[in-house]
Amino acid sequence: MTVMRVAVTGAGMCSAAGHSRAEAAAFFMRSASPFCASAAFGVPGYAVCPAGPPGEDGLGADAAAERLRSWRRRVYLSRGGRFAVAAALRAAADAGFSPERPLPPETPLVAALGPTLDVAGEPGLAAAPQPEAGGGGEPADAVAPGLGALWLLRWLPNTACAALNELLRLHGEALTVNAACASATQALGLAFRRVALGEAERVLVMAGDSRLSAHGLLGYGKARALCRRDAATAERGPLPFDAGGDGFAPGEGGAAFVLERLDAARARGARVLAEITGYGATCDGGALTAPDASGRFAERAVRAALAQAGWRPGDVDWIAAHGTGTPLNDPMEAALLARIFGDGPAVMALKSWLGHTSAACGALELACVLAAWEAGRMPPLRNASDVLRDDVRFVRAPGPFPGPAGLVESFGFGGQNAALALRLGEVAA
Amino acid sequence: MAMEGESWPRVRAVLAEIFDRDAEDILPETLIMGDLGGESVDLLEIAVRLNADFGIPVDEDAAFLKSLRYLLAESREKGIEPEAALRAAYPHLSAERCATLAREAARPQAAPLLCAADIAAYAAAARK
Repeated sequence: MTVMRVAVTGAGMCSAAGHSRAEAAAFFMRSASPFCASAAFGVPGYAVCPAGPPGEDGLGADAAAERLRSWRRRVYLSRGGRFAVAAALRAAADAGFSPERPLPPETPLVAALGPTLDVAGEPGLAAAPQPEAGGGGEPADAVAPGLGALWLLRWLPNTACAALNELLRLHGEALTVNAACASATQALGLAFRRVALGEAERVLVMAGDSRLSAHGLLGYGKARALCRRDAATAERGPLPFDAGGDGFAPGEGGAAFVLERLDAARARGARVLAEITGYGATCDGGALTAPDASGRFAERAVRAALAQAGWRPGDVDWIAAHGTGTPLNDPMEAALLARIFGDGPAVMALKSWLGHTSAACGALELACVLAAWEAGRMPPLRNASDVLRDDVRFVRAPGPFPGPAGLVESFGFGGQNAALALRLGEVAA
Repeated sequence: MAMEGESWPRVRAVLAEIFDRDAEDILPETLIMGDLGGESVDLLEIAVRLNADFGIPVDEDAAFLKSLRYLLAESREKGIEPEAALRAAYPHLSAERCATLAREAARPQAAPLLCAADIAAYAAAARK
């Protein structure tokens, strides 16, 4: 079977780090903390990393943001869905597609979206049912009069796909995947396979998520997964790969990419941001939330990505680790890194800057790696004073990438493990 | 088209919200499909909002003139005067409006004729 080479020719983002690679590169130079207290989002006591000030849409201020803001059906998108769609509009433009030269209509779309948890943000949903109220019409109208006709769309995961395809007039297969916090990396992996196997010349991938609502915070707060911060300590944020790691800090945002057969990209003169060379995914099959402490199935996913790329561990220059700041993930992942790679590659933990963007994290972190690569500077771990292991080369101070070859790792609830291998920058023919 | 009574400002506010427009942009003669770009999902939203805000059951066939063409075709088949058929089906509309609808809808390739005033008239009649 012929396997095609797969290029990333466009990227877009929507996040606390900014809404373009240039903004993200500047963001990673800043000393001010992007984290703030969670009280503004309905539940106090945690640190959060919003894509914009509370009460604002966080979509940025460019043509993509204006396009989405002027589309009246945006109200049917969840907050995470809006981030995904805005990022996808940016990715398509970044890849050189425009209204005059649109993405081919047969282009498939693979999306990673999280669940909508914003119960309080849905007018009429919390009202107690009043079945005695009558008045004719649909029975449902008598029970919950405050709910809109199509409130459900904000809660259906595929609405963002339908919205983006309406905006870009795309008619290829549209698929929404969820694999907890590995969702975006698995969406990228599925899209990579489709292009590599010759099923599509190019695939659009988008991811978006926001848990910054009262019920989103309650979901992870009740599960004891969040780091506890008060108003005075919120700016500290989470502590990935630090001995003091006490939980993750929720973030929000979106990212999107155009994946394209390398020869097709070259034929249309597209700029190549990176080449995806391998993908691996597994599931622990051991617990509904906690990762397998041995990390053996996560290791299999990483080794599968390496094998597909044809790389040995020593070929890897950098790793964008999952690194959440939780006492369950980080020791498992650090041990896995030491076992496979020793102290070879430079290990970044972008959640120390972005918070945990859940279903979108692998995509947003990849977009930030592309930004950092263009700026020639790896973001260091924020706040790591006492790293978990000395035999892993965590990036402690900003510095250049040791080389272009690296991995994005994502490990999620339910033991979802995924790893994507990439070579950054223009690639040799 | 003159609009009186308290239904009009409330219907206008509902339409402005659903179509993401300023209320001043919505006139009685504003066409829901032609001017506002309305689609079936918007009619659903309007029906549910009228039900919630006015406490009225909403018959979508009548409120949104969905069966207008069918009624006119049926009246031709049965030899009934078109305006009379519309007045029977849409008691909330005036005789003048029914005559206009019968005339306009008979034109070839007529666009959907539902206007903001038709919805306000439905809401006003249903509350009585």
